[in-house]
Amino acid sequence: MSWKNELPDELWRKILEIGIKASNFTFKDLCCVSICSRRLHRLSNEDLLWSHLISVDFPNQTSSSSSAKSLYKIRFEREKERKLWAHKRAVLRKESQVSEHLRKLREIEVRLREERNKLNSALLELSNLHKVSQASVALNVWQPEVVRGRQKQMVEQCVVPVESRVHALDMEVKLCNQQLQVFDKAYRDEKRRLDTAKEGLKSMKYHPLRDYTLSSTENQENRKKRKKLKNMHQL
Amino acid sequence: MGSTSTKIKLRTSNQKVFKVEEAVEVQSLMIKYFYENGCPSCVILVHSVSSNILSKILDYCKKHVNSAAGKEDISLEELYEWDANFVKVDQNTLFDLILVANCLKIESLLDLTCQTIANMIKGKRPEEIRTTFNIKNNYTPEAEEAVRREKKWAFNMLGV
Repeated sequence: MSWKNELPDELWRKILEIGIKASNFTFKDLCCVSICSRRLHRLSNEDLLWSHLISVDFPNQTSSSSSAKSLYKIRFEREKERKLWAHKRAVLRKESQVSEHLRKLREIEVRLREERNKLNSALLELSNLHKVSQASVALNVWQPEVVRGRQKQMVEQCVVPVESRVHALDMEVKLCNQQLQVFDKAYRDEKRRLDTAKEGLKSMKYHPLRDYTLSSTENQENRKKRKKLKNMHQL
Repeated sequence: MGSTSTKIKLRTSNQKVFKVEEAVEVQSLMIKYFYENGCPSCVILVHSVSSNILSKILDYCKKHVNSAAGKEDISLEELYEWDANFVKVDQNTLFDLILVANCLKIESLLDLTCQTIANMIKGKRPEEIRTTFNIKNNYTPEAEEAVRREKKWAFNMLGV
């Protein structure tokens, strides 16, 4: 059905208005919206939205008669220095967040590796012990009384009884598995946090022109055209 | 208003008929208008609404009417949570909900859904917004570059 996916203007207007009032839309969000399509450009340029934004961002300044958007821009320019530093601080904070998450991930990786090694050596010893006990069962069955008696003596001389050692190893394997699960979960959680932080950083550093030329898939011809256009602008 | 036994019927685009309790539909200003103007038992044709959207919307109305009337023991937080889960749907359904809420004039649902969309837009880059909401980019490359150039002031933060 063709009516699907098409919200009328009034509803988009409402969405943007609610965005500013309740979702803390910034001037950046409005600009991103306006880059999307012609219609959204028209809607996000409306005075009402920008005057809302003015009253949020510059609450103690009286309004004048010029268009709300240009007014916002003028006041923005005035405040730019302050905003610039605030932004730089925010970006730095985000970056340190990212590196902190990375560091934690490394740590978890190391501990995962250690735990895996522990598990492997425990498993190895366990399988060796099992082999030994199986072998001694076989001996019991096949060897004459005299030899069996001698062997029993030898086994009894062992400091650590085999069974208790097997038991201890079983416990250790269980513990290792538990620890591995815990670390695995921690790893996944940390990875998720890292991804959100990275995503946040990306949208903070977003710049419409730079990303546009980077991501544009148009052919050389178009690019040349644009270069020409740019040159014309500069002239 | 009339007694609660009178029913308004809604017929959807796929010919399914819904009987709705008056108490539920007073959430909708439009249907309230029908009641108050002496038409408590007619069939209203709701164009372009599929039955699963409508039943979802009736669920919403029922929940809110019942909790407001104290028929259901639900705290405000729980209702918020219910709302949050209610709008966890794909983008097509969300747009449908907005359209129907708008056409039936259900203010609280309209606010809820619009807020959801706004939250989805917040912090997204233009390319992401386009893909999320299936918005067709109808700029020519030159026009788009011009718009991006015009918006540069908002992003000109790190000396780029």
